[in-house]
Amino acid sequence: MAKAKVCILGAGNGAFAYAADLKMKGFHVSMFEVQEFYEQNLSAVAKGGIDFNIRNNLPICGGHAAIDLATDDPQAAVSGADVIFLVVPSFAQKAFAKAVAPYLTDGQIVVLGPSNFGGAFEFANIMEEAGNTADIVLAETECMMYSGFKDSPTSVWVSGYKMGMKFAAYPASKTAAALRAVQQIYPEWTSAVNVLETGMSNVNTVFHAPIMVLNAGRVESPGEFLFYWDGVTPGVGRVIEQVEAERLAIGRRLGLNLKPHLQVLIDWYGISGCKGDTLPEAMATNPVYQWDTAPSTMQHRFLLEDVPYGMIPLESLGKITGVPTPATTAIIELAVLLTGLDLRGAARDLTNLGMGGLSLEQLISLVNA
Amino acid sequence: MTKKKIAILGAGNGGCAAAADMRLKGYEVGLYDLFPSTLTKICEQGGLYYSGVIGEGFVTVKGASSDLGQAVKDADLIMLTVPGPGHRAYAEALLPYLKPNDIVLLNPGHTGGALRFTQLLKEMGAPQGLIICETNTLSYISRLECSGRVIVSSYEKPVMFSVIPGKRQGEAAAAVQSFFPAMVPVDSVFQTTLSNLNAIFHPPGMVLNAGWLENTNGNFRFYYDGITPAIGSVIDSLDAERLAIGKALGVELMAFPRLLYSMDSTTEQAAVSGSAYIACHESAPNRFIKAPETLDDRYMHEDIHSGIGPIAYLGRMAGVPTPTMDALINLACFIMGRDYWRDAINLHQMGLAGKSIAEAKAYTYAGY
Repeated sequence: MAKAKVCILGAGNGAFAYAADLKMKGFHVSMFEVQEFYEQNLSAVAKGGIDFNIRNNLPICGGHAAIDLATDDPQAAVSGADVIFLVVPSFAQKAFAKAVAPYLTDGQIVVLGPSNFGGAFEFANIMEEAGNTADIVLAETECMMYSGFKDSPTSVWVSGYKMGMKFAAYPASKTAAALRAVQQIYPEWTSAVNVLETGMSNVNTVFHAPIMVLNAGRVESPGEFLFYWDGVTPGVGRVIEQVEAERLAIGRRLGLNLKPHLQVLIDWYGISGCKGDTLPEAMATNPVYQWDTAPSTMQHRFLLEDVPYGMIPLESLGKITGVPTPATTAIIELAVLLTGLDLRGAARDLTNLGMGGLSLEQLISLVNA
Repeated sequence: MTKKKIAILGAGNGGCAAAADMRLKGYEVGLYDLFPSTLTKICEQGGLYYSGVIGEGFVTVKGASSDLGQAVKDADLIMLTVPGPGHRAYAEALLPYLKPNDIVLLNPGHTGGALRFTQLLKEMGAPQGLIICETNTLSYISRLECSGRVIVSSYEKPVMFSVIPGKRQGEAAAAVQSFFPAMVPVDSVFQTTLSNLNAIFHPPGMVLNAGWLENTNGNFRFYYDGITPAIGSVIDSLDAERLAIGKALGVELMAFPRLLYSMDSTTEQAAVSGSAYIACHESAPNRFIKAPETLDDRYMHEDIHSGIGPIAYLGRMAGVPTPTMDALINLACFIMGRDYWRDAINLHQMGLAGKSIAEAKAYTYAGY
């Protein structure tokens, strides 16, 4: 049986990791970056491919990945692809969706990895606006497969590889069939109940903003520090645990059995030596995070993405389910002030997705249909 | 003419500075502390060694005593130089000795000081006719080098003081200014109580640098390094909430940069800039002060308990939303594992529970 053809939308850290790994595994890989950033982010790959370097003891192979196509032509990129991975920050998902929506055809599976909250809803709205009624599957995973960074226009290193991720289609009735197809690429993936689960399961939502806010002065000051190893102190850890408790309580009211993030870290990174009795302990000592230095500005996706696409939707789910969110709300309030940005206006919450009028029951029916 | 006497309760950094200052000016001083060991050295040596802006030397303080009755006997003014959380214990200790028309000055009041002290004395059955004053910030900058030896870096600061009941301001001002001519009377207790400088910049500096502080044991300069432009924006937002509360309660407050400038703690450009970041960055007296080594510090506990906690509660009375203060207090609760909302000075403790703004103003003017 011929190996699947995959397309990676995006040319950042994550996109490079997906493309390189899947090419090393023998898939046909095309990559797409929007025209505006193509020269800067992807043109070198068209000429020279991607050098893929592995740190830590990971079950994947490094080497030189000769990417089959690296283009700013959306139609060429997606044409013939079985599975299309959208691997960009949430605030860029809209632009990529608009670029490729006209060219998607029956049977193609689009996986937003990660989606953060509302990625599939937003893509579905964009398909409708583009007038494309092709029978595609829109799906989400809760996070990215890889932990790593680009270190040149044609190379990327990874220090983390997740042994299994959750996958859900919107609506959920399409999940089983789509998962079977995607398991040819990532055999360890399992199904999530629905896209509410995947949208609420990105560790970034709980991890990033609290660490930024509670280390704000150090972020802005000269000098480097390790984001998790130095940034997750006992006091910071207690806030993270409270946000996590709020998330889990909301999940229960939505009828979901969300996996606690401590368990997620152990499942993903136990192979690399991650361990701990509490979430903060596991975060602050995770070997996968040992090179992760903190940002040096508030104007960073840890706030610009993880608040509007993670924390604010979480807060809105808290309101619809009646779960109080004092820690989540506090972090949001301070993130707005620290960035000086209207993060609430930019948020991808139910209201901004045009779903603000739904009752809790209606929302659950919609995602499960 | 009999020598005027001031009773100073609380023999810490502020109290010892005041005792030395008042003795040098020729006043009789009673000096007391709830913890007798604080007074041991002073009693042993018969006074205080002092240095700094008031000069250098030794001054006798014969009135240092662990007998509160002795300390306050015949005092023309009773002054408390104690932290906010200490007010209740001192009120209890002072109760048996209070007579109508006694004047008590809380230097400083911290937020809610005079209001709470008044309410505490009322609940304890103190005589009517007491006058309770508060300053908005301690009128000294000083520290004890060791027991019995005080370094004074600033005195005679032109701090504000208010009076409950407001109708007896004239009488109170005469007594207060006879010892402290530089102190400036203001009409409303809400003016002093909302002008608690530490409440404005300490909790944000602690919460938003919680990780840095814990990870390095406070190895950064709290104001110069710790108040960055983004953190300054949070302080600006907190300050805007404070000013709105003041406005609703009928007082025109100075914004934080100007308030800091009025304490000679920052530059005029900083005051004019209106930016908390610039005000802190250009604060010469605060430039080299390091952060506390642990979050378990008065910058967190006291400046919420007797700081933004009661300010937020006054916000509720005034109908002014305080999302920034609420966010900081909520995070402080989780960081420290404490219920600051439960423990902070609240409207009931300030004698304001169930009162409208007009009723609150009338109460502070007329007393109980």
